Amino acid sequence: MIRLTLGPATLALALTALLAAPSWGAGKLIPAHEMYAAPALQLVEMNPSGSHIAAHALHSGTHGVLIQEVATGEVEPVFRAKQPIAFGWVDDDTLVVAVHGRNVIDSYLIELDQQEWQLGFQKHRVKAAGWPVFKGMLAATEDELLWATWDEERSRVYRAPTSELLDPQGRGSQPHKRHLVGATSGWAQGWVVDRRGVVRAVLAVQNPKDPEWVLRYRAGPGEKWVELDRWEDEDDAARPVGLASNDRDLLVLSREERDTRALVEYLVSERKLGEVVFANPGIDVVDVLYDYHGAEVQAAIYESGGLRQYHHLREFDAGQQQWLEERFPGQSVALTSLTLDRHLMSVLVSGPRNPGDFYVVDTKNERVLDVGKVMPHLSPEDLVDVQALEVESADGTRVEAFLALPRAFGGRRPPLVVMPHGGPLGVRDDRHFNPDVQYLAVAGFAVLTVNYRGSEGYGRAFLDAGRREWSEGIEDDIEAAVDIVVAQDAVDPERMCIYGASYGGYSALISATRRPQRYVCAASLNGPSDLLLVFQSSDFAATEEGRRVFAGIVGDPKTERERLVRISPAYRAAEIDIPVLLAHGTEDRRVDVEHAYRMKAMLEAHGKRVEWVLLEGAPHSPSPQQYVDFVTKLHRFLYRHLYR
Amino acid sequence: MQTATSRRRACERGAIAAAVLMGTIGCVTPPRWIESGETVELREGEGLLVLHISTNVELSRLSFGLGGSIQDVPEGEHIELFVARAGSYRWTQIRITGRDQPRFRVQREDDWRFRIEAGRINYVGLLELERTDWLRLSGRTIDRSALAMESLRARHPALIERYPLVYNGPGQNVFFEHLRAAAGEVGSAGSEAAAARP
Repeated sequence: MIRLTLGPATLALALTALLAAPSWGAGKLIPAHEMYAAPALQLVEMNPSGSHIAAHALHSGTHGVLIQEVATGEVEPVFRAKQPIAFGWVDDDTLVVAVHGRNVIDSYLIELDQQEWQLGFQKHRVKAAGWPVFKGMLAATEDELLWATWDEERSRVYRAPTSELLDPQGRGSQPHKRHLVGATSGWAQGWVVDRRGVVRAVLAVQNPKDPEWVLRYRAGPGEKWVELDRWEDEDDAARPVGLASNDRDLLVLSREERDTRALVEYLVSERKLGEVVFANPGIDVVDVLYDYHGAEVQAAIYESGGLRQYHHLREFDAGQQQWLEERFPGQSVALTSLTLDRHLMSVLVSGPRNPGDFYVVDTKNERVLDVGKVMPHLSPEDLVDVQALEVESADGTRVEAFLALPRAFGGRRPPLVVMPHGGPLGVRDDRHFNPDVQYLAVAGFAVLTVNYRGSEGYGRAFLDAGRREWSEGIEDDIEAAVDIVVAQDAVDPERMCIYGASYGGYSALISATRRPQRYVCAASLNGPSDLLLVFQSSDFAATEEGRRVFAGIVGDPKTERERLVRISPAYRAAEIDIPVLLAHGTEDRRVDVEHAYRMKAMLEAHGKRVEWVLLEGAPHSPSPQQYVDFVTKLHRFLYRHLYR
Repeated sequence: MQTATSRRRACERGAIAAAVLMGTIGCVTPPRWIESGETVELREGEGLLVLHISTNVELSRLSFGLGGSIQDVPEGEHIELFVARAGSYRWTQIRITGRDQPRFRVQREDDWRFRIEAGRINYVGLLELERTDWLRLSGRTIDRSALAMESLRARHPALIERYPLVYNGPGQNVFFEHLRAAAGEVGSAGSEAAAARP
């Protein structure tokens, strides 16, 4: 008979369990370490025939690849590593797995051996230098891999037999040059492969000190590579994503001659843009979706209403997308893989209350197989919904905002936490699951996020409208969103705080001076407080080019010194009359920790209240554990000022 | 930040370090290291220099100006105070302990110049040195005025009370000026020197 005895550690665990899942009567609180846990299931892809699923799972810090037989549901773990991994199917019974070490990528081939009653497998380490090109991998011939290398000056891509990659003969353990199918000077930002697996185009960045983006192309196998175009600004570059339907011209993502990024044909013979394949007024195309072999563009992806949307190029695919979305109403349905016969597909279904569920969908038999959850410990019933708001700012600028309302807390309107995002340029918020929003909303705080001018995804004019608008237009947009939420009577206007990280931290501090009566507290994580200091201490201030770019975002310290001082929160400390939480990572190279010390010194010199959290060893983006420690302190700070 | 051990080691080095600071202009007297809590009577043409350095490798010598140097700087971050002649200076040579001397890379030329004003405590920035591999040692100067001020306030309260703290390193700095104004507004100090007291 086994007797159970409780040692000190076991006893502590048992007692802790008694206190699990506290509740205020309207949904349980979710501790930070659960809300910010790493996704347990990260990607699911089917093999071309649909007989097996490969899944990237994460458990206790170990990354693993699992193979599941679709017919029986039997699962076999085939690979594990401590470092992050990526994988792709090479053919129906071969996977390639890339392990991202600190300075090197190690790759492995997993060969499945389906016996009559059992799934077996063999693992082989790839000895060739380089890494697999996943996009278009299945378009290559069976038992061949698209393989990329980089030697500090040139990018190369090979189409090499797996046998040679496992035991390379070439110089420097690269594949033999007879397998070379593409090369370019500079760093290749993505090789374009046609449906036959032929490498046809690449956009490469050259001259890191004075970068240029170069588009190179070849008409087919054996043809010469030619330079089609060249740009000095990455934002102007046409990014090739595939071949046009005539198999000669390219499909590119481009903003040339228009405000928003569109999917456009690039006419190779004329070296200019052709027909617009898909464009959306006021909204950028952010990516494309590929068909089963990862070579043919199937859909343009954009974000609308805070969720990812898909514009399919073929009617059949559009019908399938509609069929899927009807089965998962109100959520975003992303295709992650498709079988050769197009009847089976793996999809990721996600939304504000759902970090993600993977399914295999059988469109022929109208069956849905539940594969697994991205964060299985979180239940949608415990999370809150997020609604999109249309906001008109003081100068007429229209912006999108998102409001998460907590479950009813006894009929009293909830307090509000305004949470501006970082950037300020080229970053955005949306309605997809966001642990920052959910952590506070579940705990009883309404949370407002705002895609103020300068945010990503709304076209170039909107992005540029955020330049030099620190403490002005950007904060006007945020205030306009708060006005709407208050006017809707959705929150308690007497209990509002503002918190943000990086630029969001700046926004929180400067907002406390702009509307001194509006907020009852403000919190900043890694926020700049002295805008002149940014030009001396930030990592991008190390080069003339970096300082020039930043001057274009905030203002020129040589000609606008007084203005930069005037909009620096540290030098407006006298106007702040609410409690302030300052948190900063000691190893932040983007916004130096000195910003927090200056803000604290100036607030204290004016006799103001400061709560101080130094995140020892934390960079600008803290580690998960550092972040969990911080948000727990932030939660206490907000609770103290909004609930007591 | 500075540990008790590193502070003690820095103190033990004080006599050596004090003998090697010098200016490029009018340098006649070696700078003198100031112990925590020690009071100093500055003479004409003398200022206080805050040496703030962070290095991930032990240094055998850190030179500036015409042959002056600080020797045996251990790995870590250190904030030390010296009496030095007023003048314009520039860091000129950095040698690490041992035979292998990595190639030194300066991120910005302006980072290596600083001034010492007479009758003031001169903060010239954090000199951050990082050996990234066997071949390279890179360096930059970061303005950490407020952070350094906290350390000085704890270790040299009398000197902070007596002499104004100014920034004389690379880049624009309005922090001390605003801090003085703030202290003046709340009426905690009358004189400029006292107003710089944090």
